[in-house]
Amino acid sequence: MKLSENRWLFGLATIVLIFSVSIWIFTEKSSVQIDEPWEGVPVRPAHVDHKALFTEPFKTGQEVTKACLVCHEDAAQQVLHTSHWRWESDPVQLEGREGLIATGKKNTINNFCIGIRGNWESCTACHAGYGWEDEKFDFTNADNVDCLVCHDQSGTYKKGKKGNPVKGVNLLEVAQSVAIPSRENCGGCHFRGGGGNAVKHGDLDESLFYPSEELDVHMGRYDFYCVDCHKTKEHNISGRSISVSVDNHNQIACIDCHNNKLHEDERLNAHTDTVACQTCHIPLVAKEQATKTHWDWSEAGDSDREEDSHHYLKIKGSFIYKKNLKPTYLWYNGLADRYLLGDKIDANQMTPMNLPKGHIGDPKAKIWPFKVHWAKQPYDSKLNHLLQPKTVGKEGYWSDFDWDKALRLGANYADLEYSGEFGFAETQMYWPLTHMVAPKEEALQCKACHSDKGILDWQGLGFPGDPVKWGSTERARLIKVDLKDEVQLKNSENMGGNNE
Amino acid sequence: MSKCFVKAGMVFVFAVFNVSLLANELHPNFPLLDKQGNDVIKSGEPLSTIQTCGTCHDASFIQAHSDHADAGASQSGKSSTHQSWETGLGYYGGWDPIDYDLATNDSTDKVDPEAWLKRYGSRHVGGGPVVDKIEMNCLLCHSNVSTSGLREEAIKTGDFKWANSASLASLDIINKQKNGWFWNKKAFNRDGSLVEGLLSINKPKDENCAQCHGLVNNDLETPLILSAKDLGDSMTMRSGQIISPQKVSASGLNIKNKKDQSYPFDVHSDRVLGCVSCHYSLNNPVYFQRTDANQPEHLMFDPRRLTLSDYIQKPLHQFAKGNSNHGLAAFESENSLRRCESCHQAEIVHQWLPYKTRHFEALACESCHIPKLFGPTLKAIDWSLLDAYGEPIKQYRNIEGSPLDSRNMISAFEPILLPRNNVGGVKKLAPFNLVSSWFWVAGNPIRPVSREHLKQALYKPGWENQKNVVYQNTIMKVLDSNQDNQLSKTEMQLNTPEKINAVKTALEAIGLTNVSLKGEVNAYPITHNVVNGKWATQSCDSCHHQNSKVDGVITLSDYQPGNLQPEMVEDPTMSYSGQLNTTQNGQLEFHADASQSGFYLLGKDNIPWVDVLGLLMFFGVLLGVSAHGIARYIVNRKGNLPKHHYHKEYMYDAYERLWHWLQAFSILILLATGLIIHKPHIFGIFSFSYMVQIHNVVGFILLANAALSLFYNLASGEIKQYLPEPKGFIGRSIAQATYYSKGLFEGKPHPIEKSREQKMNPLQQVTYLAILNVLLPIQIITGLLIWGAQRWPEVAELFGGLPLLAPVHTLVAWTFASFIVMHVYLTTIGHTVTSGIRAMIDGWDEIEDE
Repeated sequence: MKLSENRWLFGLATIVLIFSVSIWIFTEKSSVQIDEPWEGVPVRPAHVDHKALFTEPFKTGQEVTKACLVCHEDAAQQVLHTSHWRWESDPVQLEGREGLIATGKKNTINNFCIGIRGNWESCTACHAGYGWEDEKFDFTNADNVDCLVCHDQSGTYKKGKKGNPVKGVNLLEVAQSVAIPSRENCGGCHFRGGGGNAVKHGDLDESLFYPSEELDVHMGRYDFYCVDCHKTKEHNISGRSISVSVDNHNQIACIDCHNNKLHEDERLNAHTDTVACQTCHIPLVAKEQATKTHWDWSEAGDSDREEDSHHYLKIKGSFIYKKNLKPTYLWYNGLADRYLLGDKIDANQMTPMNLPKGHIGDPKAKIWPFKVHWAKQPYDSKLNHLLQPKTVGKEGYWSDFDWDKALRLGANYADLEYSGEFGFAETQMYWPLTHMVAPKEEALQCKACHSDKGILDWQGLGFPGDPVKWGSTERARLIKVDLKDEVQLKNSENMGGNNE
Repeated sequence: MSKCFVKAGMVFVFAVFNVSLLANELHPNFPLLDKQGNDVIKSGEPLSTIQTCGTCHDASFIQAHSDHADAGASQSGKSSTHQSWETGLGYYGGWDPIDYDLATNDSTDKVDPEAWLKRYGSRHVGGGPVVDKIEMNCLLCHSNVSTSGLREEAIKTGDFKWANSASLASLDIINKQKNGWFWNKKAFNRDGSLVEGLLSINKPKDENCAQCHGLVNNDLETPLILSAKDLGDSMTMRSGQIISPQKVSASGLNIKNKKDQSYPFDVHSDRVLGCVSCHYSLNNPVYFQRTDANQPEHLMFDPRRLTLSDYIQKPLHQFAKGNSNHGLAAFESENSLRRCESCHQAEIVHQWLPYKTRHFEALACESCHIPKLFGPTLKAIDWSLLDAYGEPIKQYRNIEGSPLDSRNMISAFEPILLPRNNVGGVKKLAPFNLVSSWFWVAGNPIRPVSREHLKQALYKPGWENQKNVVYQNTIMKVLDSNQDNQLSKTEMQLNTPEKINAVKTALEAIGLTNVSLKGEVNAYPITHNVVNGKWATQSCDSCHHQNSKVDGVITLSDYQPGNLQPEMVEDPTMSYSGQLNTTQNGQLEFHADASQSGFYLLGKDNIPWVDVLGLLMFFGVLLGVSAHGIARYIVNRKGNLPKHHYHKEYMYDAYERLWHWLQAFSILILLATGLIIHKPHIFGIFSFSYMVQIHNVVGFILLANAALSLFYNLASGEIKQYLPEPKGFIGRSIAQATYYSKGLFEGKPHPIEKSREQKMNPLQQVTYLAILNVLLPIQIITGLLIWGAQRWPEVAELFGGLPLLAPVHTLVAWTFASFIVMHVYLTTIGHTVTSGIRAMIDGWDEIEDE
């Protein structure tokens, strides 16, 4: 065909262009979606069926690990660097303390079962390794890495004392089932922290194995696994909590996936610099299983009292559990103070184990929801520091019910001084809440906080009163003062440097 | 510094377990005084609020400046009333068919204050017309006293003296014993003042207002439910309004599809506003803004105002309010309320809305932002018969059976949209509920038959002391049509002449004369329960549709007592734009029709004959050309027509062709989109809003194309092609017409030779002249005016507004559609069927050789 014969096509194109361009320019565009949360969710790797790879029965966990390492050569070495293996952080500088400090389950205490030293055999049932029974455990021996606890999908794997598989577990079947960690793998330890289901966190318990969407919108409605948010690189799982961590590296945030200003409502978006997402979107925790809020060790050892795991146990003392727990709200910048073994306490006052850091003038701090766990736990009434009893095993408190002996032994394991005189002191532990996110319809409404009966104590938080009426200039003002202080400090430091 | 905060944090942790006191700590503790100014605890006399509060506040001033105390009494006789038996328009002496009784003296037509108090006093704050019987009760609105029933009882039994004191019984400050009222010593300190924390004095909370005005629940934890008190003559019952921040889905009401309604009943309540945020005291220096006519225009804000202490001493108790036919008849305060637009910048958040200004002009914000209500909403109240409890028969819009029985399901009530007369005379569509009421009148002059008379006529003697009364035999006989001694719902409807006569006779039997049945319809405006934009009515076809919200139908009663046409009670704030209609099964309905008030909605309104004419024209032409075409085909098939020789000639240059096709496509797109806009219910799959936008854009392309072409034709002189040569025009026209009707079939050549200089025959010239110089301009101008109605409504109004412009635009569109059929057909009569079209594509026409 000749060009001239096709000229009409150009004419047609011109006309189509005129129409489409004008319509494109002058009609309203549908609003662009501002939130693409799925972009932040990792694609789960394709599953490789391991059934055919293992045929011979395994005698020990270590044998399985060896078999894993045939293909996954670096895996065990990677695990050796993780907190799931080390139960200890990298050494960090802590405000107000000298030198670098490495903390973790390995060497600190809490106000639940208190501490692991001397109690290893029982506590390390949740260690991602085999055979940790005393201080001599070799943290460099990759043979003892437990691959199965995180990767078993048969549901038949169970760890017992010292973290070794219990008798009767068919290790071949377990090994053949391995895949990406599911909620069952993580929940096996994390839902049962503190010695049983729903004890510790309040926002993590066994109801999350098969959650409804009302309980947890991510896991319930969208079937999230833990590792979808706790993204993992080289076996290093992201996310941390001030219950053990003192730094805030490798943390997870809602805004990893969600847009920080995603509310259609300008008024709500104005909150996000001051209020954590969790505050409104986790109005309640322990929605299905009651969580422990009070633990009084001082009442332990009474054989006459009726035992009931939710109220009293002779070995542990008395408890209070609460369902549908309403959080406590505090300023929190992601870090916390940490009670370290040997720190002095004032026994007449409540000792915070991990007081969240942050205040109204801290630009990084937001109002966060916490579960607060209150306890009465043993301390040295002469030396005024908290003690760590040996509870587990021979001569432990749980067999002999002798506090003095248990504390003496525990102090020995923990390198603590023990005067022989002990009492019970009040402590509190803070658990930032971040799971059990409710569907958006259930989020807190304005009047939940901004009313006479609101859940926030504005003056306690440092506001002159409800910011709806009083404004939020107090925070803005204090942040400015704070920044100014910092600048001045820096300037003076710089000047000092010049002088030298 | 950080240590200090650690401490603060620790203190706080303890503090959270201590719920702070809710009492207003600023208000000093005070003694309760009696009329003589003595401590009541010493004198044992009743409380005088005027003495007690008057110690600091100017209580007499407050009492004299309170709309709630006055209750419209000061307006009595000053303006004309709706009904002849009313003495005023307010609560005092006004007629409200829901509350029913008048409490006026039969002979003098004056309100008997004592009778009025006993009847209405439980919902009156005191003072005003009854000031010598009950002082204004400050505590009702300013404290935490709650209804204990004792105040109501005191008023009902005429124990007015103790009525205000009785309201303190809920706080155990006073007790009623067999031998009278006694102040509780434990509630008082030695100095006569009240024990701290017992009585909390505060600015009115929503709960205070709720005592009379309807269901309020500010507690997010306790799902709201209805109580009998909420069903009084309140805005909840009148129009389904519920004031609460609770989400409908989280409430305790049994609501249909509740789970989907996950938004608060009232967004303002959700956003921490209270009743008094809008209904503030008119001299409250925090809220009010002077709107004096003599305020200089250049001043946006006048900082000279009352100090807080002045205000607290003499707070006006006239509150900012809107404008309603019902209530206190406080005319001076009418429309003192801040309107939606006083606080909201609607323009900013309605960027998505096409024709914003047009919508804002025609629609009150409430029309879209109060789409549904969930309170049990009254439909009809029928006093023509009383039930066995002495109560009228009530029909609700959105619930069957008693609203207090949670087994009965409430469905959403969608209010009807009627023109509301806004401040400044602007008429806007706004949501309303219409309630019909039916009642007997008697006497001369007529007045409603009192409840007592009704009971006397209907029930057997002794009804005064019975809980469950018995109807007179004559009444029972006609009501109980199936004679089972039970009265069913339908049997209780006074809808047959026998039933009506029976009651009428019974009323006459007790001595009433001139007895007749009357019906009226009242309109209740809906302004609360606003929802966030996300839940508001947003879709175009809610209104721009055959089944438009704007032309809603609302049932006024399931039956029509006595087949009466009720009177639509005149309401200066709105108009009943529409008509009454009785359905086949006896339901009385009101059909709203906004077009009666001059509203014209594209996609809803049209003039039927315009479309009929247009269709006739279109199909007439189609039929004509089809017949012509078939005839040509038959003749052609015979094949004995003489053959002509043709030569090619360059007829249309590039610009002409571009212009032609642009115009052709524009018109086709405009016709298609126009049709969709005109009849959106037929073309439901298209987005109305998008079609309107395309129609507008293409309309402007058409305009630009026409303007450029006009310029081209004028500049090049081509315009002369369109202008018929007057000489011999008629002859040539006849020749051309003859060719179409005869010559064409005989294979004769075109009578008028087509050439570069003369492209059109005389018939074409006339047609194009009409199309391009008459119809096209009309269409463009009407189109522009319709489009511009949002920017320059006055200009559109000048040309008759949408009601005229739109039908003209439609009619011309039909003409264009018909023309196109004819035009396309006539292109086929060249050498070959397609040669005409080809010529307009490549410019080369085939012309018969001479």
